[in-house]
Amino acid sequence: MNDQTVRLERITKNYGTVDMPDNLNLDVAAKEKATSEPMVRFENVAKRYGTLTVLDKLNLDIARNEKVSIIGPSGSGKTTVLRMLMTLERINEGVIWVDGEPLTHMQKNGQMVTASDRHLRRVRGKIGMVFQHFNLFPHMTALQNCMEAPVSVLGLSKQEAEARAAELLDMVGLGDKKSHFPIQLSGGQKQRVAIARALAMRPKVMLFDEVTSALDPELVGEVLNVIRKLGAEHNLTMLMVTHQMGFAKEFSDRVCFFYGGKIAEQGPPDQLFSDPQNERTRQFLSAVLEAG
Amino acid sequence: MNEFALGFSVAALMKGVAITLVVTVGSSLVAIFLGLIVGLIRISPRWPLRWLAVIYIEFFRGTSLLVQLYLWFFVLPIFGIILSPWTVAILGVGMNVSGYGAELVRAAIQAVDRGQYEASIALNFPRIAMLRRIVLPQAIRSMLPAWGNLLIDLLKGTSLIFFITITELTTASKLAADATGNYLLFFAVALFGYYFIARALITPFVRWLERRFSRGFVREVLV
Amino acid sequence: MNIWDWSYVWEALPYIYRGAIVTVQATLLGFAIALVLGLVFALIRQSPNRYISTAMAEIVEFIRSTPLLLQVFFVYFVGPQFGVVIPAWSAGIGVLGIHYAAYCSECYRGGIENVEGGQWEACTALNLSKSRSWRAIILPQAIPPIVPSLGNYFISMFKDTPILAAIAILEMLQQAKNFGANNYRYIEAITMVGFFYLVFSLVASAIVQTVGFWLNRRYHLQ
Repeated sequence: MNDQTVRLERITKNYGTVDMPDNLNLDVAAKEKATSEPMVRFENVAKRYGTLTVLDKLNLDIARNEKVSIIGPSGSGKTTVLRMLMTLERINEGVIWVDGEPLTHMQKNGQMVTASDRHLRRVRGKIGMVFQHFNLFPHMTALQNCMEAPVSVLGLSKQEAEARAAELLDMVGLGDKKSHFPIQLSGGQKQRVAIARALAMRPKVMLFDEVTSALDPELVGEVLNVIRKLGAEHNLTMLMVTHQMGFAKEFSDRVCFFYGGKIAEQGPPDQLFSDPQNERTRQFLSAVLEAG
Repeated sequence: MNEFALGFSVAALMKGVAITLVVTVGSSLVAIFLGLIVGLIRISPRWPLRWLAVIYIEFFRGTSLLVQLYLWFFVLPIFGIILSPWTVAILGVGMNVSGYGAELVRAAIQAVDRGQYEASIALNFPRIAMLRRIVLPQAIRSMLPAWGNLLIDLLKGTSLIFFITITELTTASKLAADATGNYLLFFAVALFGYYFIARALITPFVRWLERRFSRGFVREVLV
Repeated sequence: MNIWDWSYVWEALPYIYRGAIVTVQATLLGFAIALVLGLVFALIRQSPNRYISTAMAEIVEFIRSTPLLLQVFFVYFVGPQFGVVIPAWSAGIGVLGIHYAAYCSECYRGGIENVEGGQWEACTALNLSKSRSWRAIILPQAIPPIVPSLGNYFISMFKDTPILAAIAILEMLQQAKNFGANNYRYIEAITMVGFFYLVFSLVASAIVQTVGFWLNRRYHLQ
């Protein structure tokens, strides 16, 4: 065990290891990967702002139920990966596939054309996202935040939506905060409401974009615990951009290290954290662990 | 001073107040309704619609209110459209203010946090539902104070229907003052009348609306 | 009968030209008064004496919530009742100036209150006199950022000048209306006036924006 691993262990301990997922998920993921197509596939995806290339020919497959962490220095394009998948950013080249269907394109007479609004919204419905700055609706209570989209997008009745929202808020441990407005909640509580809100749409893929970065350190644990619980109890494909190396190591099936708009290195967390092959990865990890 | 003339003038002044109130309420409704619609068209994704809204806004903000009233009152009849002074007053003042209102709506909508739009996309809201349920409630709250000022401007603008022969408060006070010769009294009363309508009716009403729309924006004491 | 007759346009032009000169003069003079008086209002508003500053705030509030037309009537007609005759021109421009001074004073106040508190502390630490602090430190920082909003009031004032017609000042719109009444043809003259107002507003607001941008750059405020 080298120095890095020791520090990682310590970080892991600091945030607790409640509800550690068992290895079942990994096995299931491995099996499904072998038998079926990936849940998400980036195929030669490129993203540019003017002359600046943010992502260059990205190829990435994510299997059903796989938990993938994306790490890397700022400006490496890691957040862009999630934002493209959520269709918050247009892609300049390539195709993104979700659950066997193209996301930003559709097949018409054997040709790939730009997706219609209807197609986009149908495929997008399989994806949920949690943001760094929560983006809760400030004029709605926690319960209303979780009910709004199921009612006006999925067409659920008020009763159904309320039951679903209440159940999810209970799950994230906020059963007693249903009628609170976002401003009355702590950062950790807000982020847990945001998770419940995304789950209420029953997505197959969940995206977590630096969900603990805006939180005070003592509130990070409660959010990570909810994510652990999700991973253990639900069949969800998860893709997260994170700075919590300890959590990434403990929770993910695979870690991708982004550098300069490319995947510089990827692999199982144990291998990537303890024996990085790429010089950049090594530098990044030692810098991050140095900062603690 | 002749007591009959005084009594008569006071009655005329009260009637003037009532007319000013009716025109103010009527044109406020027009201004709010059209301002909201044009403001929403102004941010439409289709550029021809956007440009129509820009032309509407620039016309009503760029030409003077009195010029507009004269256009409706003196020029439209040439095209066979004869509007009653009341219609001209309510629509004319209301449409003029709606140009300013539309800009308030546009600015408030564009000032809503980008994260709210992103969350709405992530939750797969159709554009209309996103506007109606997420964006507008937040935009309305932030534009209410500016609407308060705008409605006071509107109240002041109704004095210009003096020029198109409706006896509202300013006209009534002028007539009463001319009839009695007591300019100080009637003009002072009219000035305080406007001040009262602005500060005792419009401002508190907008404040009340602000409170109603601020649910969730200010920390409330929890039960 | 033609809907639009160019011969009327040429005939109306001299009248409108005469009116336009009156309109521009009234706006320039009125705005000069508004700028100076508005600053005076704003400085009185900053008075450490609570009664003085509150009274000033109330006066500004009152001027802002009552119609310009009625204020013009008040000044023009109440004087003669007590034997003081004020010429229409002075009354009109004076009231325009006072009315917009109230608006400008709110602008100035915003600018002054946006100057960092630390600037006042620095003035005290450097032992600058009160008037020196205002002139050399505070106002040069307070005014450039508010130039665009002051400019917008200039445009508003321009559009309010037709009100002066009520006390028989022959500005642009009144000339057009009189022309229309004499010839039983309103459309050309009134449309032209509307067009002039529109062009002026658009050009002026473009200038205001450019000047505001330039000033902020010049004083390194942005």
